[in-house]
Amino acid sequence: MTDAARPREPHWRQPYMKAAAGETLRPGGFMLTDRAAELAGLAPGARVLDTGCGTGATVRRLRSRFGVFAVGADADMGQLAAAREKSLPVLCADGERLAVASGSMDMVFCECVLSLLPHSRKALMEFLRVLRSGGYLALSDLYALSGASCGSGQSCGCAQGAFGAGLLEDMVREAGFEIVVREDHSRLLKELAARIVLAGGSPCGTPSGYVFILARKKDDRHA
Amino acid sequence: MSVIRVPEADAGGWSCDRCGEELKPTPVNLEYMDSRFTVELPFCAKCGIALISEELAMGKMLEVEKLLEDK
Ligand SMILES: [Zn+2]
Repeated sequence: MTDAARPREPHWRQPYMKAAAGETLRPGGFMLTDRAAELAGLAPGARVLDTGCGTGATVRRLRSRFGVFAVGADADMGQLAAAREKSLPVLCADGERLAVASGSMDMVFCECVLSLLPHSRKALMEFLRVLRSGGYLALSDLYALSGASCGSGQSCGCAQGAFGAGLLEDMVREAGFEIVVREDHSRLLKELAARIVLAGGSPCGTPSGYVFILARKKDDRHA
Repeated sequence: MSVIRVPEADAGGWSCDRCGEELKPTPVNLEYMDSRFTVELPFCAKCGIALISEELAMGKMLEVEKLLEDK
C-alpha cells in the first residue's frame, strides 16, 4: 500500500462525503446556518456573503429561507462553475481578498472554512472590512482538543489547521469583533464522523471539537 | 439530512428469512443515544423488518456506537 506515502484527498473532495454530510459538506448541515441567521435577525433584502461557498448550497438556502440577497465567494473554479450552473451569484476570490466594497455587507458567513485558509487572521480582517458597522459574522470551525495529530499521520485536510480551543475567539476579538454567542457543537462533528463511517469513508482521527461563534462588528463610534 | 447508502448493505439478491419476500433497499432510521441516522438497508415491506448483516452490525455499526459514546 502506497496510501500512507501520499497525502489523502481532503474529506470534502471524497465521493462518500456528499452521502455522509449532504450538500453543505460540514457538521450539522444547515442547522448552524439557520441558527446564525435567526440569532442575527436576518431580514429579507439583507446583503449577505458566504465565504468558501463551494457549490452554493448555503447561498441558495439563505436566499430561499430568509429572503436575503446572498452572494457566495470561493477560490475553487470547479466549485464555482457548479454554483453558476444553478444560477447562483458567486464570485471568485480567496478569503483574504474579497472583491466586495467596504462596509457593504450586513452579514458574512464562514462555516467550516476559516481553519483551511492559509492566512486566517487576514481573512478575519477582510470579513470585518466588508461588513457594515454592527454587521454580523457567523463562524463555525473545528478546534483542536489536544496536541495529538491524526492517527494515520495523513493529511486529511480538515483538522490539521484547527486552532486550539479559545484561540479562535481571541482571533475574532483581535480582528475587531465582539462575540455575541459562542456555543460548543462537538456532537455534530461526532455525528458527521459516524456518517462518514457508515458511508464507507474513514474519518480523521484527530481529537477535535466544533465551535459556533456569532460575532458583531463593533460600532465605528466605539472602535 | 441525506440518506446514507452503506456499501455493505446491498439488498440485491436477499429475501426475507420469515416470509421469503424480496428485500428492497429502504431508508431506515437508526438511533444511537441522541443521534439519528437515516440509512438505506435491505427491508422486508411485509414484515417491516430491516436486515442488518453480522458484518455490518459488528463492523461499522459498532464503530459508530463507539464514536458517539466516546466523550
Ligand atoms: Zn418478510
